[in-house]
Amino acid sequence: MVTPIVIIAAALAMAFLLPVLEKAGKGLIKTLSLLVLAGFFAASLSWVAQILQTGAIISQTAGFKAPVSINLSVSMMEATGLAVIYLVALLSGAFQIFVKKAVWQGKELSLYFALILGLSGLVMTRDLFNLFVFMEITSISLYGLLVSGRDERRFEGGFKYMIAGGLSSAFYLIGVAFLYRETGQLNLDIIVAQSGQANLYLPLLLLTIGILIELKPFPANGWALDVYESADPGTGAVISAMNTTALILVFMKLMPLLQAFGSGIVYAALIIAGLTFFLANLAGIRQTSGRRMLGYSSLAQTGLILFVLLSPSAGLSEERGLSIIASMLRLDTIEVIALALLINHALAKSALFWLTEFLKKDALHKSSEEGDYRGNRGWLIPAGMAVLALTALPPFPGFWAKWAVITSFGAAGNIGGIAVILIGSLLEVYYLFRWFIRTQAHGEDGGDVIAPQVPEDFAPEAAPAPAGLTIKPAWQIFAPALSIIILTSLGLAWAFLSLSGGQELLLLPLAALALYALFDLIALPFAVKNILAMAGLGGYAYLIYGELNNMTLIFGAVFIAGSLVQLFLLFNKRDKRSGLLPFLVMMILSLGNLLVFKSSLGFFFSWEMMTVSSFFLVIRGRQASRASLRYIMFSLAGAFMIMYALADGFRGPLTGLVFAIGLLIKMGAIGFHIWLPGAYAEAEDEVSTFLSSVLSKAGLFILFITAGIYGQTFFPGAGNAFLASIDINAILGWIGVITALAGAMMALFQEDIKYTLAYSSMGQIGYMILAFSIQSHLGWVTALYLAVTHLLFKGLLFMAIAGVIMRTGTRLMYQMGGLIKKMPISFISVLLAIIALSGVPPLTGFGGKWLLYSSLMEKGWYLHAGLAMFSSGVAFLYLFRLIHTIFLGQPKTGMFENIKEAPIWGLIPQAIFMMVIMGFSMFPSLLIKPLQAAVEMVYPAAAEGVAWQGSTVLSSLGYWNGSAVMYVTMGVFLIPLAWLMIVNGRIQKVKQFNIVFAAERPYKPETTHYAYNFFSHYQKALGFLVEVRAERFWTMIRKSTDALGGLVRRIYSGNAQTYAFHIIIFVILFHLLAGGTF
Amino acid sequence: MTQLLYILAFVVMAIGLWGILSRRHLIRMIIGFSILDTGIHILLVAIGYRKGGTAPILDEALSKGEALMNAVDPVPSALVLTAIVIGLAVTALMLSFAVRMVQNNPTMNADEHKELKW
Amino acid sequence: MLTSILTKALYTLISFFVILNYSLLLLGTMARVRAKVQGRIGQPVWQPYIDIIKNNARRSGVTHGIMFYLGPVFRLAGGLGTYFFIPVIFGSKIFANFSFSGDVLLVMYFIFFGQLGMALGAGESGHPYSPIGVARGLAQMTAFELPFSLAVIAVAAQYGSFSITEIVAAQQGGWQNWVAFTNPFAMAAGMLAFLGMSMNNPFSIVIAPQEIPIGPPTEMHSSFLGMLQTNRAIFNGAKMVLFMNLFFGGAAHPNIFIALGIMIMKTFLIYLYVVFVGVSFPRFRTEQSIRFFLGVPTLLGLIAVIQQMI
Repeated sequence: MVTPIVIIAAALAMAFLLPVLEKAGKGLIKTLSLLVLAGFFAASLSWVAQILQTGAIISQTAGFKAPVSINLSVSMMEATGLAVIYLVALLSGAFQIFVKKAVWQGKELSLYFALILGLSGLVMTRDLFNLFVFMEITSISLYGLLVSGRDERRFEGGFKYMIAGGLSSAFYLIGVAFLYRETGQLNLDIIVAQSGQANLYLPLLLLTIGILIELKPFPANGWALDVYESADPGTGAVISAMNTTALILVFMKLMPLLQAFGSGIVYAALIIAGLTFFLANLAGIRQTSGRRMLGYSSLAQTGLILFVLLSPSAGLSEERGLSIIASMLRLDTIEVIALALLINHALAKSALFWLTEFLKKDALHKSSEEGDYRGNRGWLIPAGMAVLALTALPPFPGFWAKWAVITSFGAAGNIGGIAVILIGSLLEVYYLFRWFIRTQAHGEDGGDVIAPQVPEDFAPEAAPAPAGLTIKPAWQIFAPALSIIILTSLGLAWAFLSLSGGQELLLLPLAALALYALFDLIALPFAVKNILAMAGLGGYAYLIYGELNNMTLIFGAVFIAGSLVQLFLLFNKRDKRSGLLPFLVMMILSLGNLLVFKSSLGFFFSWEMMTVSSFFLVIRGRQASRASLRYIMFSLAGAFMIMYALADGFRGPLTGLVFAIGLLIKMGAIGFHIWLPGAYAEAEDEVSTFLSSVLSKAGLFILFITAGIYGQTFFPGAGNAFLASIDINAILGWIGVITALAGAMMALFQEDIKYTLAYSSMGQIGYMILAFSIQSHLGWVTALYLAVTHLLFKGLLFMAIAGVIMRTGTRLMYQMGGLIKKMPISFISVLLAIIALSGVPPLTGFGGKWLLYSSLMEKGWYLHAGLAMFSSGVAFLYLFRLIHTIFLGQPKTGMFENIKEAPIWGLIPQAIFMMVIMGFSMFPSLLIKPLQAAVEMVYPAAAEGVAWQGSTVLSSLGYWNGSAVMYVTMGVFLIPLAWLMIVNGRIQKVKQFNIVFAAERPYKPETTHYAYNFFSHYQKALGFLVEVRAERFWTMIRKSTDALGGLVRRIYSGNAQTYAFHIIIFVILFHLLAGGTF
Repeated sequence: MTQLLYILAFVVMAIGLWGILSRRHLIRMIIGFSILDTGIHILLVAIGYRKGGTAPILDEALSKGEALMNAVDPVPSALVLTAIVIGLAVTALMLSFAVRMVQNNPTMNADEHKELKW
Repeated sequence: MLTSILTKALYTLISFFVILNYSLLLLGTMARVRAKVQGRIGQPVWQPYIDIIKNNARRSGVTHGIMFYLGPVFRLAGGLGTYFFIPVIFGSKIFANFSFSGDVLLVMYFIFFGQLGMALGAGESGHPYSPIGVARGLAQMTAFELPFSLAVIAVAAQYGSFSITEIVAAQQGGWQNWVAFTNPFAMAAGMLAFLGMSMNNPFSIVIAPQEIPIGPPTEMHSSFLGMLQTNRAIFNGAKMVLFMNLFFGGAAHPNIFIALGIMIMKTFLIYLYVVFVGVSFPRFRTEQSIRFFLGVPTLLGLIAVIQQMI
């Protein structure tokens, strides 16, 4: 066991000795430095162990007790905090020593140890003046470290830092002076213990301001941004991770004092912290410099931690993992939360700063060189994980801490706090993910991630991604990698604590991610990996089967069996495709977990896991940067709404509506749909089918299991019958039918086949929402029926189309044509799928239509029924266009002469789906009866007059006998066919181009393929319906947010004096907020 | 007397702050800082001052008991010493940064050193 | 079991025979009516028979592929199916067809079956005019589907049933019980939609490529064409029977022959109305007809539906 004082002494000795020892050899000082740093880290861990046994470690200096001497105290919070600081110090030191050999020499290492000395002192000392001294030691050594670097502007940044640092220490010192005058004491503990003190407002105000300025509060934080931007990334990491952590610990140390004597100051700090978090994130979205952006993120995270610390209700959460950790470490829940946020930020942010070191340049401008690290796992994996951690996504500690905070706020009714955190976080998600996406974008993924992609006429598909920059040698990535590994393990530990107690199953997606990533790493052949994935899914299905019953069983079949079949498609290609299976299996398992969770945290965890994994599937597309950014933004916005509703406990219809909107966003309902086409279309062809046919049902399932919420009426006491009838279901109904119509209409005018299918999925989801909102036996059966059949025919379509795109190398329909001769089996599966989708008897689609209209009529929603019929007509249009322009008409000579049928592995899953479709078409009761059993618990069939008579299903309005329809159809089809074959015995087959029109043979028949702008007349008549309103609306939202961000960041004019002035304004503002007067 | 010292301290601090905020010349800003620091030092000394007090040196002339009553509070004086040293170090660093800034961009006007912003 | 199947087959054949002959004669008659209006003598009423026999007698045929070959089969199957799912004579076993399989929704959606198959067959010919016609036809179809479905919804809401048999049953007991009088807006919307459905003027741009001697009929020749012509007759008959059932009380009488007479009279008048409109108005462009159907007819349909909601 080392006493704390030894650390101070050792750091001091190192600072002095290193320049001397440097003469003896560079290797020596580097080794020595690393050893000492490692020792510090070990010491801090040993303190943690000791404190658990004996309580806080207090060490006196100079042989006297406080107040005569200065005492150092390390309690659990300090010990863990120091562990974080020393860990980052060790990694950062190693990074600088090994990777940036040229920059860090003995001089810098000496300064580095002085810095660590200062930081350790800051955390440990209980003496206020001593605190000032350590603050100054920290600052001065940091100024010194700023000198090393390449950016010419670092002196300017450093100068501004000094102005701010000087002012902050001036305020702090005056505060200390006054405090001493009032109390005659400098020891923190003694001051706190002296109750009934005189008015300590002014000293505490100045003291707090001094500390806060170092923590970069709004608006006094412009200098920090300039420092982050211009400093060497390694120094940036030091400031952001180590300095901030230490200062927050200092602030926590002062908090008892503030709470005892200055409630107004606590309030002011709370407001300032909230403002800082929100405004830093707002201004962050306009950044073009990656490091400055990370700087904004640092400001925001610091603000967030302070905000949480100061919020009176933030620690109320009784989340399982949190309670366990708190009792284990003997900390308050709020301290655990703060600690988790600190660790999360320190490790993730320092990792990101180090990673920017490897970027070619620190800019986010549109330029094709940007896609630096596409395909480079060494850079991408830590970067992606760090971004996930910073945006508080599972399984990182930030996620659990944030969940605890939000649920605490919810329990305390602190809606404002939830709003600040969630909206601010969303902004942070936006810029961090945009940065991440940009750094890995394909070279041909042109333009800003915001600008739309317009395919060029007859342009070939983009070439495969270039290998991307590699980091040579690869070990250089060790520092960020290690910090991410540690962060992940901590997050996993928390996850395990939270979910132990019956929900361990929910951790399986993470296990799958790790396992299949391992398979990628050891470079198993793809086929083997795919077989393993299938086996994994099968095993998982076996595991959860026991927990499934009616409704969950149906969705389980959709999620898992549906995916399992589609996995065959992946055998298609021979290359390795690292990363595909890990995320795919993770996504499917997360979906499965949605069926078996047992707590709202379990649900939200699985939901976020699903979002994360699907995001990484979308981003794999070649031109998917725009789509993936939208996808993650909308998904997380929806998730945050869900989080809010969960935290709020569904009090009142408005919360229910928020929850519903969260789900609707995920389902791509009208208004929120703009993420959907891009995500489905720009993902890889083999992945699109999973997203569209499987993933899209997740929201629907949650709708079902939360159905009780949506019956809440908005005007329960209204005398007017119409007003009294408005509930969330009524809103859902209209959203559903309009989504159905809009999806169909938009699908109609796409030239890109995958966009057509994507919009079509949107429309189909609309039908499901509509059917769900009917809230009757038939309605629910319809929704489930649609969900199952949509899986079948949309899977079929996407898989067949994947084969077509693979063979033709284009996604534009009008470039294809006449493929029926080359790809007959694909044609048949598309034909079957479009018959089923459009609802033409005798295939399954008609069952869906029949059920839908019957239930709508029963409900009395006649207008919905009319609109639904209209949209199913429109669907027929785009489906015909799809099959015609691809498979019929004239092929392009030269382009597609030698193409073959899709590979067998693409055809196998199609064949399976076709057989299932045919089976359900022949015997609809096979499908409908289990669905009825599933909804029986909520809506009994007998009560609503749904009955079976043989194979005829009877509703109160009509009847339908699927088998009879099948037989009659076969009869009326086969008899004319037989007749035709008899009378038309000798037919002559002619060549493709044997056509005549206008009494002439066309000179170039291959140019006569009527395909482009197929429904121009429709566009003329009804095109106004599908103008890009939603797109425009969201663009407007983005632009106004951008403009607001631009407005906020304008205050950071770059002028050192303006920054000084900001500090003065901050002081006045703080004083006013704290309730002070002049 | 003590009141006067306080007033003096705040006047000096205000002058320093005003210098930082209003002078465009880098060196003058740094001088402003020094003046601000001086003000704080005066304040610290003022806090320790006791009217008619004697030097806090425990010897025959000043017993422990008397010291509590009559001696000037020694703690602020000690603090001032530390603060002066620190202030000196910061001033030196600021000057050297200012020199490097001017080497990069040869002007002493703080307004012209705005490469980093927004 | 076997006897019942055989009886059903026999009844189906009778029903098929009646509708085929009646519709062919009706087509011939209406062609002559149209000719008279235009001041021509016109073809003999039995001309449709001659066409079909002649086309089927052709010995050679040209095919572009399997889908091309199956196109007319799909088309005829669609026409036959549509007809067979509708009860023709209320209360008659012989003319009940297979109406136990499904209700009016089935009929509405089965109409697509033949259209889809035909469109696919014509598409495979590689002839540019066929997809043009198909695109126009489908576009126009979705437009008239809206007032038509609103009308059907209004009627179904009125009687609380989608079953055609029940809708006809509810209209028995005199003309004042017909939907045309109990729910005039629905009838109006439906009958306006019917103009589009029968592809006569002013909504005939769909088959315009057929008029100039190019397009599917040229590609579809010999027995293919014969099949299409057969279907045209049956499909027309089926649609008129459907509208008669939905809006004009169907055909019901204890005496099967009188009932048939009623059916013939009503459907004749329905078709005459289409021809009457057709010879009086010029042709719409596609987008014009889309706008037309989504205008007044849809409004009428909405009024009918809202009437039922209130």
